[in-house]
Amino acid sequence: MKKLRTWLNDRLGLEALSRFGMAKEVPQHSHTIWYYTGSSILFFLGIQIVTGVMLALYFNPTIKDANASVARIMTEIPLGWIIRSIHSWSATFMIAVVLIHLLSIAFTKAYRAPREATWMSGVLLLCVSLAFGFTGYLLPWDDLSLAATKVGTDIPKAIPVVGTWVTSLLRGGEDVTGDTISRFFIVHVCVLPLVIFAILGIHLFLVQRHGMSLPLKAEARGEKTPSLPFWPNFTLRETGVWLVLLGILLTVAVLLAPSLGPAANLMAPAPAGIKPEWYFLFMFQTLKLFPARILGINGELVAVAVMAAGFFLVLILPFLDNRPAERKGRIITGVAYAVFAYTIAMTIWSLL
Amino acid sequence: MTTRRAILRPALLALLLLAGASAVVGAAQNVPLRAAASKPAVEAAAKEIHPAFLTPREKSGAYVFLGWTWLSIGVLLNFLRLKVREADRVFLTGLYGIAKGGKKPPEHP
Repeated sequence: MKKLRTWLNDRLGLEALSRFGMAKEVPQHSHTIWYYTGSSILFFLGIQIVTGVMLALYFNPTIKDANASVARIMTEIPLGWIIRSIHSWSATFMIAVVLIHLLSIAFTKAYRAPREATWMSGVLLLCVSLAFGFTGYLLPWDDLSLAATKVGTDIPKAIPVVGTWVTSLLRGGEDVTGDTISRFFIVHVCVLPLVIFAILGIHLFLVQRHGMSLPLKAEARGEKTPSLPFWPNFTLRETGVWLVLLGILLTVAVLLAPSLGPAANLMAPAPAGIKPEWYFLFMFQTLKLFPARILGINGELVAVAVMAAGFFLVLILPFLDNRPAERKGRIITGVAYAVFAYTIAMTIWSLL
Repeated sequence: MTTRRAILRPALLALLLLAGASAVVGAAQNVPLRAAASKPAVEAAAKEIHPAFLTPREKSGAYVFLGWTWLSIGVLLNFLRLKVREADRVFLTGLYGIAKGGKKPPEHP
């Protein structure tokens, strides 16, 4: 074993990696628990990749075979339904943990200088995760996924000048067809993974560059908080969290596996009571609340503009709340709590 | 004593994981029986397909698998707890300072 380690170290320089891990310090304070959310996202991403590759071995992204191939995965392929269930549930868990991670950064104000770029890359990672969810939702090609994709790809139509073109680009034509499935599949398995790895690389580099954030008070006073080495002390603790998450994921995936609806019929009307995935519910409900016309302007356009402005404000949050640490930016904090409450309320309303 | 422990721990762990894996394989082996080779390829779902255990053997296999999973996780967490305790103790002695020019930890005999 020692010989193998020496052999590997001579060739790969693993000792340098270990030294880096030991030199990297993880601060220990009341917010340390939130540090575990970052690595948990990577854990779920890894599971997504492994199960995604397994599903792609049997999935056919064509209008004729998409639903049939998912039906085959669920009924013929040994443990196919479990792999599909793990993929589906780990996507849900990943987005939930990304949201928790982002909220923890927001409410501890860890996005302040010099970590503005880290925050912005994190917001972009959330967008890519949502895009993964949106493109993956169509792939089973059942009534529900067709209707949800129609609604989702219809939204850009409200944008003046380029709206129709954007919708047509997303769908690969005027309507959601077989071309949309191949397009969404390629984006889901090729384009988005490349994008997520590129942004993730930048995000992780920035996290290493600026180190882990401290509570505002400690940072302002320049206090030295107690810390632990990343390797092995923190990594061992993280492994424990990963194991528990794996257990929860497997239990949920086995006991609450998602079903597959009948193959989508392009001519059939949308089924009653369609709803998107839970992470899009607040947007769905907001769109429903807006009247058809507001002051003579298309209501859907106003809703899209409000949501786009909201996203832009979240993206540039570090530049809006850039006061010195001793001034907490109470208005921004109040607005953030209000938006958070609104999102929760809209999601619950949509579920009722 | 140390050598025996070094052999026993991985062996115990491998045994746990193997037993868990056998439950999965047992369930999986049952599935191809349903898909006879002469059967035509599965057609698109005419009605909703609910993932379900088609045989009692598969159902019990899945529950046994979950049981073994949580048992393995429990055992691994216990190992991790001991490793964390050991790593923290070594850290508190100041031996992890080599990266910053501190003293090097002693080699295992």
